[in-house]
Amino acid sequence: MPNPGLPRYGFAGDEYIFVQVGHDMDLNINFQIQATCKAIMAEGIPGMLEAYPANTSYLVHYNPDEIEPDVLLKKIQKIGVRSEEFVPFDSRLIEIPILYNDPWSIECAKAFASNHQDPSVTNIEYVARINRMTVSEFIMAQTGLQYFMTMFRFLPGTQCFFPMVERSKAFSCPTYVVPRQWTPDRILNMGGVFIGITAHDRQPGGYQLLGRSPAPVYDAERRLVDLKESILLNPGDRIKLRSIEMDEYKALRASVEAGEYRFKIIKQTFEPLRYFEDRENYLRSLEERLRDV
Amino acid sequence: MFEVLSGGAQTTVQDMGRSGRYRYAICPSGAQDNFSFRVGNILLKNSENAAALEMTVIGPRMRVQEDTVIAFTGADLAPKINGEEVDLWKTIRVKAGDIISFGQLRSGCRSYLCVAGGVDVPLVFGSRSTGTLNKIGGYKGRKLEKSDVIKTFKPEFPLHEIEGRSLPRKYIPSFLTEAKLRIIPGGYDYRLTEESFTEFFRTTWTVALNSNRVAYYLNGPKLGFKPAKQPFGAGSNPSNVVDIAYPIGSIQVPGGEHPVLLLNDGVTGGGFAIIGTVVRADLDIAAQLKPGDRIVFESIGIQEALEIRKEKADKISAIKDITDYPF
Repeated sequence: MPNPGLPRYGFAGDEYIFVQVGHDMDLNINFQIQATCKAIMAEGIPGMLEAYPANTSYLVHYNPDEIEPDVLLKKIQKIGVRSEEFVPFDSRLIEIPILYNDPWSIECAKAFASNHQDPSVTNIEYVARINRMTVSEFIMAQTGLQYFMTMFRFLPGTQCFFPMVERSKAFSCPTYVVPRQWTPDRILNMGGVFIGITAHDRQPGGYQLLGRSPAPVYDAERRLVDLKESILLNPGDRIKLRSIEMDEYKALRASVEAGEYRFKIIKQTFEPLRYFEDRENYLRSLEERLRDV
Repeated sequence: MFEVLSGGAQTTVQDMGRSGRYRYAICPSGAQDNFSFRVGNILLKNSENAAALEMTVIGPRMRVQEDTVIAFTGADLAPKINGEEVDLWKTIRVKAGDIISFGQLRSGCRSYLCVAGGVDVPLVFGSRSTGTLNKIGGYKGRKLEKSDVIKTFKPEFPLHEIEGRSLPRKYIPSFLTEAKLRIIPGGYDYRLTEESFTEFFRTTWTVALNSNRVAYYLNGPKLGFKPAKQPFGAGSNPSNVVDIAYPIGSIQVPGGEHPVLLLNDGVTGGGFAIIGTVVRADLDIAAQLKPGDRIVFESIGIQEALEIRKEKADKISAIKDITDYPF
């Protein structure tokens, strides 16, 4: 659906161009943004430093000593128009094991009980309840989804994931009333319809705490093969969560600590048009290969 | 080499910051007052990007461990060598055993101690700067504390060639307690009511106490947003939008109160509408404001922003010429 008056291109100070592409969060819009940012980066425009994709907007950082702002803006506009056509793109599917309702989330929630809407229950019980589900129904529903990584935000390696489901079927939850001063690392967290996995131990945050991954998604020390670039995921990648029990969590944790853990990752070509045509069956077909890894 | 005897309020290692990784949510960090920082290095015939110490309001106390040449620039923290006050904007020879200390802040907020060769800490993502929020880079990712030992690189020039060099008086900036910051309105400025948009530029804002390298928080009147249905995926407050990437220097107004001016150590993205972005050169001026100081914003366009940028670049070039800067 085209948005009247959008995209809106504007200068943000003398070093940035801010482009608002949409109002409502929508993968239609985000696919365009990913394609535009990739194309801007690939163009090799002198003076263009980077294009930073966000959810319904993007930010271009440039050096005006090397390129006229107006000239760059026009180039970006052209690339933006070109990216309105949905072309297939590289997108990895990554499985992330999660111990739901884990003791660390519960401990952290207890420490910030007074910041929460309903501290009498755990965060996941709260999120399940407001979505009219039991905890196991919620876990079943969430692990049945694929989430699309739209952007990094906040702190190094902190990603933002959006559910690949029709808007009416997306479950959501409010953020904490007052943000927490700290959250453990590797915590699966949720605010609105978005989820994330904490990248840093003791990072502040206000999303609901749902579970914990045995493996990190960011590591400045690059100890795991899959984190040799420090980050596991990039915008355009997809994740699927797999619910695990404490025994498996401990076993996987040991393999992470030994530096041996490997994520299940499959490289795929994602076809937006097929996705829009028949979302469920298309995603199902992409997931099938996870079983063979 | 220096041994830290006391760290001061917030003393961090900074260079010109890390660039090109903002999209991974890695903020630039780097000296907040880029002008003062660079002039220190120019006087020392260092590379312009050589790492230095940024000191905030209350300076550290340090023991010099080997003979070198240093320069103080930026805020006037009344720097002293062995208890004797020394000039800012001038290169000074110091000897092993000398004590560097500071007095009461006289003007500005952030002072720089630049050293011949530059401070030697590891490069992290291409920069030696300390990120105070993301805890990367600099000296162990944190501000300096008692007993830290700060190493320096070997200077490129013999010490006698770089001591006693000073900045001509006409180039020394004066740091006032009220500043005009120039801003290009944009982003989601159209979501503010017209009265609030006007009021934003009419108000003399005060820098709040909790301001730091991440952001300045401003005290002043409450601003209002136009009533509208919140976009899907945005928070419930009218100041919320679907998460965006924040430009450095951008201004957001969470809940309509206390505008936030995002600085070099800021969070890279989030769900608050930005209403405009301060031009780069004026962030040097902002860096020298301390809690209680006042800000007035002036709305400008891109052409004027480029002129302001050129003024600063011309000033730096003139300083390089006049000081026979070799690079």
